[in-house]
Amino acid sequence: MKNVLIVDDSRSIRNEVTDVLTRAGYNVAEAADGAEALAYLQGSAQVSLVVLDVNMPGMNGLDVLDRIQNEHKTRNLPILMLTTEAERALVERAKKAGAKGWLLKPIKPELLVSTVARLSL
Amino acid sequence: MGSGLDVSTNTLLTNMAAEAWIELMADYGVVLSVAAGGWESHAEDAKLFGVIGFGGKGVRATCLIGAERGLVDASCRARGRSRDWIAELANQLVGRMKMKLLGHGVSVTMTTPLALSGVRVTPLPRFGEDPVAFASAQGAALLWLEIETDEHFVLSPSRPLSVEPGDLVF
Repeated sequence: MKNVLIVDDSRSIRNEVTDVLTRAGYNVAEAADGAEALAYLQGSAQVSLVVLDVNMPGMNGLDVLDRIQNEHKTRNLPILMLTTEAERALVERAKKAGAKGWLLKPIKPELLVSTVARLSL
Repeated sequence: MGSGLDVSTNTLLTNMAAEAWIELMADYGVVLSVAAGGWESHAEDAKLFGVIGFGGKGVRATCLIGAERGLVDASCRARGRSRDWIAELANQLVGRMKMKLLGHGVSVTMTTPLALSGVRVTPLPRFGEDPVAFASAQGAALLWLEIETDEHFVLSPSRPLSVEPGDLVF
């Protein structure tokens, strides 16, 4: 079973992603901010994909993306951004930094599942 | 921010935010309509509020949404807590507002949202635009947008964006 990490400061969004992906057969771990996510990824868990919010307190999602892509252990990990942001400059920055997808909220469950299936290792 | 009393700009942006709030709630299964009677600030039921700021070239704004708990819970599809969800709704509302502004050539950045709760909360708007009250089958709601603009703030004619909320951008 593949493991997905959802990183979002909203518990409601984490719960929704967890519910949708669990029903689709994934194991889902949750992190409430960037620091928690980076600590999790440095642990022993094998993660197939990270679903990452952009607008978070502390480190924003793009900073977290940079950190994940700059770590040897996680540099090939697929990242799916999940956000309300649609500004071209942010999207291009994420793409350039190595994000594999950019999905806008509200969550459409079928689209989330098909995108995770396509991108996950 | 010297011309914060530009009522026509405030009206236009408040209408834009109200449209975004109605669209957002519709996506979560709640039908909102503008309430003629205004915000029932004296009702004793506890209300939940989400607050978020945004700003860009020539514009600075605070957006507050308020709603009765029944409405907040009805719109939450996950196992959420109401306070967390009203903050996320504020985040998504301003995200939509930001998309609408991008369609007018305006780029803004947004803060992270905060949640509050209270009873008998009465807005005291500094500028000309009153908060907008909404009604729904699940309860009442409020949108309060305070905006300051200056001469650097220019809304270009609207052009459609290639993406909409819920889309996969790439």
